[in-house]
Amino acid sequence: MARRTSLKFRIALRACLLVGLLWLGAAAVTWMEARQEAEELFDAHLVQAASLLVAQTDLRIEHDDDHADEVFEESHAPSLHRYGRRVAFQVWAGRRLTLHSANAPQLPLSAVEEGLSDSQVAGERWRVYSAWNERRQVLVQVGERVSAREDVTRAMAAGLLRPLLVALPLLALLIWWAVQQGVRPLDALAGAVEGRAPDKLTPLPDQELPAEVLPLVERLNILFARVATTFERERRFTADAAHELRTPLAGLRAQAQVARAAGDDASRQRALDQLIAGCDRMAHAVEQMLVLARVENARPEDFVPADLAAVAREVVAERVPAALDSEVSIELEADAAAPVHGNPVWLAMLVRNLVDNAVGHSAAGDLVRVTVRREGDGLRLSVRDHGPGVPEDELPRLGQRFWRSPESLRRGAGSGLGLSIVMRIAELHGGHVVFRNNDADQERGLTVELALPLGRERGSR
Amino acid sequence: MRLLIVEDDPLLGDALQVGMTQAGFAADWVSDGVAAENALAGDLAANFDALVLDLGLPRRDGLSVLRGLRARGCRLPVLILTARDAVEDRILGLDSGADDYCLKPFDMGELGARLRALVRRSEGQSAPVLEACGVRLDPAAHTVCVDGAGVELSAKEFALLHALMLNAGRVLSRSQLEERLYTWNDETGSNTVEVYIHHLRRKLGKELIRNIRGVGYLVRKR
Repeated sequence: MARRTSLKFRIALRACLLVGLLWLGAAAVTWMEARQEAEELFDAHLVQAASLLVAQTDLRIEHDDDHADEVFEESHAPSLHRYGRRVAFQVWAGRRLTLHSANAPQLPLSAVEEGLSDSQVAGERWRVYSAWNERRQVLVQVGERVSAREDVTRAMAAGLLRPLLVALPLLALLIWWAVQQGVRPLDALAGAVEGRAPDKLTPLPDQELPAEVLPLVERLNILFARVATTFERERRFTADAAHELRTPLAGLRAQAQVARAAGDDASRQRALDQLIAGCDRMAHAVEQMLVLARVENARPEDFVPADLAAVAREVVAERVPAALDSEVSIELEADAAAPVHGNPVWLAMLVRNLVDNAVGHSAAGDLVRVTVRREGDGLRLSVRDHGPGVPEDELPRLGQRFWRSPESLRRGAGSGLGLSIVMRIAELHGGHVVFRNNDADQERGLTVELALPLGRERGSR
Repeated sequence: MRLLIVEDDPLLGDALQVGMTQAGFAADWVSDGVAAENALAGDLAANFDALVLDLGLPRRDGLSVLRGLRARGCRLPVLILTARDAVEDRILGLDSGADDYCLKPFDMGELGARLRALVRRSEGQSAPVLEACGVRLDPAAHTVCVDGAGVELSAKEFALLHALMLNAGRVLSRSQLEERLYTWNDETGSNTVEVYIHHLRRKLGKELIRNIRGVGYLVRKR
């Protein structure tokens, strides 16, 4: 399994590297500047020493010309300090070395006879300052071993780097701790998600969350809510369906038992007829359940520009013959075009369910009126019947799954799912359905109104 | 024995009414909660020996019908017949005053037996076979014996004898007996109870059923 890099590890590593690099950079700059300063300081000392010697030599020449080639014995130039051995001087009169420190080589310290120079004498590198006395009789050369200077700068570098070696691991620990503290809300969140039962879909707490994580949690919560709704819907549907199938099943079984126990042919025949009618009704209910399950899970992806008026016209034409058989007439009143963005098959099913309901609740001689109208930026389809209507207190229950009006129950018609299907299809198309009794108009019956958002005109882009 | 069936599903309601009639009950059927309350309002509840009650009813829920019944002290045996199978529903049903709880789908034979048991217990009997003055009546098998010999009775004769023997030691008026015998759909003649009593006395002997003049009829215990 590929190991995931930890966010904490990545942040801490980067922080450590950056801090280390910055520190090193700063140390390097400091060291270079310090070395420069030190060089200048050392050089200044060389220069000062040389000028002292030149002055000294001038005095000797004035007062004591006889001792011109005197050699400083070791005793005359005591090693005053351990650095003393690293510094040497020579006093040249012409080609003759008249005075020198004990640790000075016999050859000139530098070929350059004026100012600062670097040289190599007998395998040893020197930094040398050369100066003439005023009358150019005597050349004074003061040199310092480069190795001595390097010792100093090395010590300086070590001084700069040593704390780094101690501080960097300490700093890494501190960075790690800081990162840990920083991502604590994330850890808490991960813990909260990890500790959840798979069916727990309550939202995650979003207080005290850093701004970067909040969108993630918000999206997660939206997802949780959606999944929970779907779960709940499925669970309720399954429960309702199983529950609702028990009663007709009990009816079928009871009718079968009645038929078996019937003492005469007429009552047996009657029970068997009831049994068959019951089976047909149940087949219809199962069919409706399947349709509802399909529309419940439908998404508006396959929507196309459609014409609600055309859909209504088709459905009415299809339903008129059966309605006329029970002496119910259907009228359609529709605007020329009612553009809608949707699935024409679902829309036809919606209209068909409404028309069938209206016809089913109508008596012989009644009229069912279907209207499709544009209203503002919406469409309105209404189906109006002159049946018994629905008691006001039952109106809100219309469209509830498996709810049937006492009237439908009495007639033994319907599955109680037709209006649920209608409402779901309306919802899918961004619309809604309103039921109201016609009583206000002094006439019986129910009006179902569907409001849908207006679609683009066909052909226009 | 007269039953009131409250069931909103037309197929099942019809089957219950016909099937319970086949089983020897006089069965009436209503299909919503309000109709059930009307049928049981006031003294009318006394006309029934048992109530078969669905829970999910239009207009008024079965449980509120049941609670209303118990609230006014009605002791009518009630059997809940429902598709709600959750334990909580069953507990709620029984604790709301039901005497038995039956789940759909069910067996007609079992439902009949449960109803007979409910009625028997509500009348203070526990033996399934009723006995008085040498007459044995078996409600389940629908048979009557006098001193061990079987006697053929018509359905109404049997129902009348059953009602009297269930209430052995109590006087039942003619109208009380009529209520127990006939559903709303039956045509009743003016003296049919007297006719059936006459037939029963002829078949079972004169001692069993005593006529209390001006009050009604009585079967004595033992």
